[in-house]
Amino acid sequence: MASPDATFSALAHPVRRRMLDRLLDGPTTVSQLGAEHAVSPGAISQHIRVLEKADLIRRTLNGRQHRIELDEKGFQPVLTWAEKYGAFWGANLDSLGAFLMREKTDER
Amino acid sequence: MNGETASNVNEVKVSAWYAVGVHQAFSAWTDPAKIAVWFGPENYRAEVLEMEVKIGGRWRFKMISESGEVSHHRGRYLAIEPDKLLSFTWESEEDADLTEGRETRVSVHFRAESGGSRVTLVHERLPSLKAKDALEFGWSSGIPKLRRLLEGKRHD
Repeated sequence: MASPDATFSALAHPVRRRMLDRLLDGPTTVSQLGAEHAVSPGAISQHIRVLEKADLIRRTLNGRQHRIELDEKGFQPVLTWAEKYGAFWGANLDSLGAFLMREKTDER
Repeated sequence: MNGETASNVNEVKVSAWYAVGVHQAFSAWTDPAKIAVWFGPENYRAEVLEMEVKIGGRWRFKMISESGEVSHHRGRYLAIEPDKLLSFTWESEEDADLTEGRETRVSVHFRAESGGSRVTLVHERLPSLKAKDALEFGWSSGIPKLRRLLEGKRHD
C-alpha cells in the first residue's frame, strides 16, 4: 500500500487532480489523457508514474495502447476516513439538536 | 432539525439547523458541563477529562459505547470566536489509523439563520503541508461518484 505521503503528494498537483477528475468518468488511454490536458508526452508519463506509485491509478496494456483507470487501493483509506467521520459528526449534530431542545424546554 | 451531509475527498462536512440562538448553540460546545451531556452519537457516553477553552488550551474526552468500548480523543483549541467559530485539533488515540497519528482539524461555524442557528462542522485531515493543496481537491460529485465507480468495478 502506498504511504499517505505518496497519496497526498500525488494529489497536490493540479494537473494530476484534473487527470483523476477525468478518470472518474471511466478509463482512457495515455495519449487521450495527454491530448485532453494539453501536456507533453514526457510530462504526462511522469504524472502517470506518480499516480501509479500512489496506487491511485493502474495501467493495463491493451494491444499497443496503455489503458489507464482509477485504482481503488489508493482511495480506500480516504473513503474509510470520510465515511467513518461523516457518520460520527452527523450523529453528533443530532445529539446536539436533542440536547438544545431539552435545554429550551427546561427554560420554560 | 434538518441535517445534511456532504463530503469532499479530504474533508468531512456536516451541517444542521437548530431552533435556538447562536449563543446557546455555541455554549453547548464550549461549556464542559453541557458538552459532557450531549457529545457523541446517541449510543455513546462522553466524559470530559480535560477542557481548557482558550487558544492553545487542551481538551481530552473519553467516550464509552453502549457495548462498553472505550476510546479517547484529544486536541488543542486553535480559534475561538464567541458565537461564530470554534476550531480545534482532533486526534483519536485508539483510532490512530484513521488520523494516521497526525493532526486533523475540526472547525465548527455558527451562523444565525431563519430565526435559529446554522451549525456547520468541517473536519479536515492534515497529514502534511502538501495536504493543504490536496484539500482543494474538489470533485464536483466527489465520493458518491467514486464509490459507484469502484463498486461497479468489483462486480465486473
